[in-house]
Amino acid sequence: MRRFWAWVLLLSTPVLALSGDEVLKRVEARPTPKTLHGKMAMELINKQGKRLTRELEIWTKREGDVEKMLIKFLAPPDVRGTAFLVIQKGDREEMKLYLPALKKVRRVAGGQRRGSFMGSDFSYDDISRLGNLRSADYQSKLLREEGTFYVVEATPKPGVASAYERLVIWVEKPHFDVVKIEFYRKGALYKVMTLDEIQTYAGKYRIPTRLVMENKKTRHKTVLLQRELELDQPIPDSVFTERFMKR
Amino acid sequence: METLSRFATRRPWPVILLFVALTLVLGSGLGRLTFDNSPESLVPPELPAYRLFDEVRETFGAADVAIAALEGEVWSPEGLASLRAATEAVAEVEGVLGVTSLANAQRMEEVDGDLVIEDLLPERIAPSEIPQIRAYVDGHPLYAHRLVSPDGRYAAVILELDTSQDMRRLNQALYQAFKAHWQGPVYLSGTPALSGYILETIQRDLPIQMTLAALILGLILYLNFRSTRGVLLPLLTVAVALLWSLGLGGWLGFKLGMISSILPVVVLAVGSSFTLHVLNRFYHELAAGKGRAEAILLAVRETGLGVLVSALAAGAGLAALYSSSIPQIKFFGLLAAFGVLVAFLAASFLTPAVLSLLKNPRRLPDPERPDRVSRAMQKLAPVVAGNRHRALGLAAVFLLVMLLLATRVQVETSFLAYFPKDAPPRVATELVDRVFGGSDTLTVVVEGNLKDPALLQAIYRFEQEAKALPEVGSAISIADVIREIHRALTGSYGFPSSEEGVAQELLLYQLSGDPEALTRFITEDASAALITVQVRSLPTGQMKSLTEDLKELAKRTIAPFADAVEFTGTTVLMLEVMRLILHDQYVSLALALVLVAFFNALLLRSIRVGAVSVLPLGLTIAGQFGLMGMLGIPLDTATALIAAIAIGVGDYSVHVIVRYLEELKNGEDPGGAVRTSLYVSGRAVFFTALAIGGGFMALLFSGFAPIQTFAKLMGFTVGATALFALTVLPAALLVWVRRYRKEAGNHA
Repeated sequence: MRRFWAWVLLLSTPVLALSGDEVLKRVEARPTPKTLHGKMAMELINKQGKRLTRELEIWTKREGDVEKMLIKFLAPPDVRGTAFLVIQKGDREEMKLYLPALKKVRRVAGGQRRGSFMGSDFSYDDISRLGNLRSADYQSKLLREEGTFYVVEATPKPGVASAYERLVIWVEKPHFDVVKIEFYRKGALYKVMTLDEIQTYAGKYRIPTRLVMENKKTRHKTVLLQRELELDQPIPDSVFTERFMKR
Repeated sequence: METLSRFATRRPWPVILLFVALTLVLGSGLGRLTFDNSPESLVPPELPAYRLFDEVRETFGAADVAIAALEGEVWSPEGLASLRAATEAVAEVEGVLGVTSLANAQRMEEVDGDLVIEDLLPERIAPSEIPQIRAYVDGHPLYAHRLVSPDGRYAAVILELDTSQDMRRLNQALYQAFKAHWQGPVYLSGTPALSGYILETIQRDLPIQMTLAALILGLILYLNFRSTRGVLLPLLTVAVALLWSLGLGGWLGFKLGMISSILPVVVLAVGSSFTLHVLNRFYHELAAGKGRAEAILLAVRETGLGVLVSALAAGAGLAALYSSSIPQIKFFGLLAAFGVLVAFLAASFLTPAVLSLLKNPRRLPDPERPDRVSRAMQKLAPVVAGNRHRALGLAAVFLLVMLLLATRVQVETSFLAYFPKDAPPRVATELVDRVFGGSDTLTVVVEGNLKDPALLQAIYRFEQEAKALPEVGSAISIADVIREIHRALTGSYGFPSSEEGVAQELLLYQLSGDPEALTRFITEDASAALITVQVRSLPTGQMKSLTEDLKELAKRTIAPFADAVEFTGTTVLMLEVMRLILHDQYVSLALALVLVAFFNALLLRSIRVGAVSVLPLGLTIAGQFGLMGMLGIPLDTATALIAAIAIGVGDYSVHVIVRYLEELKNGEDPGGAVRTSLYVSGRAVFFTALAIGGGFMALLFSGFAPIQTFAKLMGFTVGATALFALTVLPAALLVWVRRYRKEAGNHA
């Protein structure tokens, strides 16, 4: 009998109204890959519509509380080979930089978390929020349901460092995919991120493959396209080393 | 014309109602009239330098930079925290495109082998950290002496601004944002402060000037007529003219700036003369025992031609300003011409209509009765007649001398000299000039392959040589940014040896800041870059030669490595404006003189008369420029208008001609005709000159030096035109116009 009720509860969850917090928890509960390797095209579009494209190759790996990320520039040709290595252990972060013209790896110090991700309109925080929207950091409220979307307002809890005052998040019902986030700062809409292509990998991972971030103040826009993605394929630790950066 | 005036006399109410209705319709546009003295209101949009300015603004975000200096203990935790709060606050002000101060500056340097890239100021600033931060800033070419004064007493906040904003609002908003967070004095220099101040002054001065002009006119009208009616009627007609022209300006979306703010006074002064002539004659006829209706008709008939000719001439002179390429002058010309023509219409129709409704005054002083003025005029006639050749000879000598002196006129404006010494923007500009080495910016646009180390080296060399000039405070560009990155990466100043190296260092800079941080210096594709040269606020002459020197320097240093090097910025635009004013001056002057001669010839039906009629004007204008050359009064945005306005106000001499021709037609010999003409019209000319000149004196109370100079020059102009109209003109008539065809007198 108890199992029966458990089944009823589980099956009926999607139809019962969820709280904002529950929606974010469901988003957070989606599986995330342990490793990811792929290519990324980054298109920077200024307010006059001029485009600048960069291509990167990315390797990421998660083991316990250690996250490693290596980014190598493939294009434009004059920056090909420029590499960044970020190793995050809990709150500690180590970043290294390799510029082929100097043929030297340099350790980079300084708070970069709130800074721009590779010179785009995305910040490091925005990027990491995609994979890991820590619901515990936010005070959330379900604003409304729009067709197949939950619209949730998330406000950072006191003491949580955030570049934004408030987020409004659109979550698509069947998969709990985040499809759009509005970022508010000083009472005004600051940035809008839309994830307009989301693909399923390995039958379980929902990965956005086209992301657009528009800064409403500067009218500058970044489009990220992810392709040739390999998930959960073993990546040796030797990738996240100075030697590999120089290669 | 006369038929219409007769209609106005017979059926005054429809005419009055029509004027009231039109006044309500057009006058309601008054509320739409706005003020604007932005560079845009002075710069023709099709100007090549403006197109470049606009392109730069589009590509790099902002082409206009203003510097605010905050006074206080900068190098203290409280000072830096306040600076950060103030910087964040002004960044949110609408119209602010970018803000740079110590508060949002980046630190990029090598510390113990690590490349440190972080905000210059930590989240919480401990007193013990300050010496280290200060040492870094003092050694940083982009920050030292630019963002903070060497003694740490002043912090600079560099603002990139959208110049199409309402500068008064922007100025106030900036000031409030600063004051909310910074306890010490705040000095705002640059366009918003200057333009904001100009607009505030205009709005404060305008009602004062109008009231003053009306009072002076009223006084002179009273001296002339000695009756309330004689004061109020001309003032009524100019009030109508003023409402129509300002209202029309409102409906057409025109904006009043420093130059166009003289519009009301011009319309008041010029427009009042028409009714003065009509009324003069009306009272004269009444005093001669005519009935009211007949007196009105006679007044309109007798003065109609003179008033029409002078109205058309005034209108033409002012409308000629429409040929100017400066938008503000253009609109001023159009509205002033319209206002003058409305004043004429009001004098011709509204005045008769109102007169026909009013009871005859109890006392009937004849304004044309022989008084001291007319007796003096009478005495003048034989003197002129007897010395006519000598008078013309003297006029020729005067013309030559003045033209010679006119060649010494300088086209030069010190924008700062417009403002009183204690005006906040002037104080701020002088302070920023002194403390930060310059409040004005010249923008150099370099096109080419900015990843080429040779081009960067060339730009750096240009900056070093530019900074050696005493007028230049600083010069910064992407070259300085790369040198800093290079030093942080390699430990020594310099440039990478290859294009790839430059590209990678640029990438590093981009990766460490927001995506727009670099676009203030260079386009994302590295095909164009800006060099911002901070210079002291200089008079245009010196600014011009400095710009020439810098252009020469750029040609020598940068040009061999670049595709193109061009100069722009508000300062460069203002130099262009000065050049255009000078150029336009000749065009509008020639056009105005030709138009006046044409109208006079057409209406008086004689080319010879038309030519003689512009003689007083020609002499006056030569006199103006000669005077300016002699006294060192520069030709600037305001004084450039005087010639055209002189034509507008100065054509009352036509009344002398009209009367002279009338007398010839009536069979009088030339000598007698001059005597009668001076006796009858001379007094009117004298009082008109007094009224117009007096009206312009209201501008002496303007808050701007150029407008005050303009007022003084107008005083000279009005006096000189009157003098020439009463002396040289009759002499010329006696010599060149001794006969007048009888049928020609059946005018208008």
